[in-house]
Amino acid sequence: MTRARARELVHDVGKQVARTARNLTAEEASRGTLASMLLADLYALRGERASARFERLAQGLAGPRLDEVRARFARVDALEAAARAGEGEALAALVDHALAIEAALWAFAREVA
Amino acid sequence: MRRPKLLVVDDEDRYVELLHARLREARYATRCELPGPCWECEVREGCTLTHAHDWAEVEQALARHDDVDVVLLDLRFDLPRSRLLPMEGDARARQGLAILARLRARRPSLPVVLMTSADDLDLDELAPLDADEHLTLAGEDAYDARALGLLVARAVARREGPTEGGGYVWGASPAMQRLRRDAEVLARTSLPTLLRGEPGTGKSALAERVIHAASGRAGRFVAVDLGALPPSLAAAELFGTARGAFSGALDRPGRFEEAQGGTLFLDEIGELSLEAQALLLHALQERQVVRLGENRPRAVDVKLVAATNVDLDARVAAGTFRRDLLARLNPAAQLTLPPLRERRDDVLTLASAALERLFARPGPDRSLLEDYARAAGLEGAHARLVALSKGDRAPTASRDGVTFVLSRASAQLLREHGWPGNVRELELLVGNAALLSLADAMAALVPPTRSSLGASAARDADLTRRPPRMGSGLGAGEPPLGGVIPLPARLVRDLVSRGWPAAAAQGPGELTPRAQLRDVARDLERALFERLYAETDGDFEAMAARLLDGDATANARRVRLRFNQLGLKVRG
Repeated sequence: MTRARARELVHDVGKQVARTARNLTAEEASRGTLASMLLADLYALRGERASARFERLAQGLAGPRLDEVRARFARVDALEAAARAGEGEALAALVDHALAIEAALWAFAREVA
Repeated sequence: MRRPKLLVVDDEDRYVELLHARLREARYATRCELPGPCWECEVREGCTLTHAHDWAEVEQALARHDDVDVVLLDLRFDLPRSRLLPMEGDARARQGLAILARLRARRPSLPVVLMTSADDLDLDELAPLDADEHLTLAGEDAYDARALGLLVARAVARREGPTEGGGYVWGASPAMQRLRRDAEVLARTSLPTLLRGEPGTGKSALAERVIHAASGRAGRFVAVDLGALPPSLAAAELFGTARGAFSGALDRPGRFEEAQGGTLFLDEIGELSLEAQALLLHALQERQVVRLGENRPRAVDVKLVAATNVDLDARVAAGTFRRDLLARLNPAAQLTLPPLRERRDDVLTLASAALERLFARPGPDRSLLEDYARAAGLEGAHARLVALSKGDRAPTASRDGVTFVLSRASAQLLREHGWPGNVRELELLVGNAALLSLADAMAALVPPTRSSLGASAARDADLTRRPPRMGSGLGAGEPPLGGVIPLPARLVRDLVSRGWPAAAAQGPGELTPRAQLRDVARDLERALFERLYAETDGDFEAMAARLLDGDATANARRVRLRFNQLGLKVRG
């Protein structure tokens, strides 16, 4: 059961938040279509914030990897205003957080497998 | 190389948006700019990326796009049950496998990139679905456009199978004759071969059609453009990965292993990172490769051909290329391809070969030629180029195909041009001139009636019922006979004068032939719209009536939209 839910976290949260981020370099994070796609991935993922989706799917699960993801999401949410204002540093930081979140969720899925 | 046409099967649009945005930048694949889903499109020209959300839409897309090269297929489909194929277990979580099974039944040899990693799957589930032959597991690479491009190239190459040998046009220049002798000798040895020459001089063709063909090796020809590889992916691409080497890494052979018993062609070798150079040197010295994340060496037997257009000695001096690797590449026996401006006597021979090759390949260009041949009442659809010289009479029509005619002045112009883009520039120019002239000739034989909005408007017409109108004017002076198509001097002059992008002449950011043909199609479409606009005095409903069936008002809106998309302006 935990394994299945870990997979769900990888697919429904990890992959979704990282798919655009993977294609953005720090230099180009602040411009164009991909930047707005990144914002949508993180703040309006199928109608909800990625952090909220994570919390919903992670309910009842625990571990240091999930704590790391939670902390990353807190920083992602704190960066929203700056990122929406197009600040390059904030967007570049979002890219890093998104990729780190996916990696942590993969690690969690492997650990519980 | 032709761009592969991709069909993306995913329940969400976001992934397709991402591919559109990223692959367009990478000049890899894109779709046209028409609004609406591809399966409702009547144009079907110029697009290389189409999309389906479920199996029903896959069927529609394949029916419309019978030339899809690769399918990118998601595994999980969060759709209502009514849109899912029935299957045992969790149909949403494994829907991709059900679609894969249907694809296998429908198009057994169509390569599929399954956008998931082995971690998501019990690999036994894939066994009945022909996993080894035509299936690639993408894992996280599916979300990296550059890595995905490599996966697609591999999938296409696997399907295309063994390389066709021969067909290299040498010409008569002494430099090329020397090159031929040296290349054929080196091909039969085990020595690595280093090719040098400006971009577009034909290094890749020499490696594939001459060296690999003459090597007698039974394995495949595998080409890797190191200039197009991000440094972070180069080592994994060349040497392979072991599962778990990094997040999402799968057990995957590298290009060295794929070329086992054959030839590995490394283009733009000067762009390889120092880290990857060290691994390459090891592979050449030991004839072994070690996949990333693995300790076990694997023996490899490949004929290595490397190519560059940069000064590797200067890179060695600058510390960006390893001296010991350069020594391993056998620079003493390097083959240098001369630029086209130094072999002007070969220009017309190369132009003729380029035109024949263009129309010999199955695809839209060949189809257009066949349509024309049918409309003109010809018995065959062979294409040839005749360049007139002093005293020559215009060639007579031949029943077995189409003769494209280059005037004396145009031939002279081609011989005198500087060709900064070398043979590649010549091939594109000849292709553009021939296709534009062919489309004009086609329009003269079969005026567009109702059809799509695309450049090949006449192709949907019932050609067989229209008698050929021999002698219709092409704006090039004398009226042509059916089967004889002049390449108008004005057109050739115009194409030559447009020049060659500096970036393409200098390095890896080169134009692809497909990109040029798409531009040609767009030009033709613009010309069609301009003509209709003039003929109807700017009446979009009248234009729509000549192009489309159905709701007149809606069609007029569509035509107006396309008119704007083509950059045309309403005249007051």
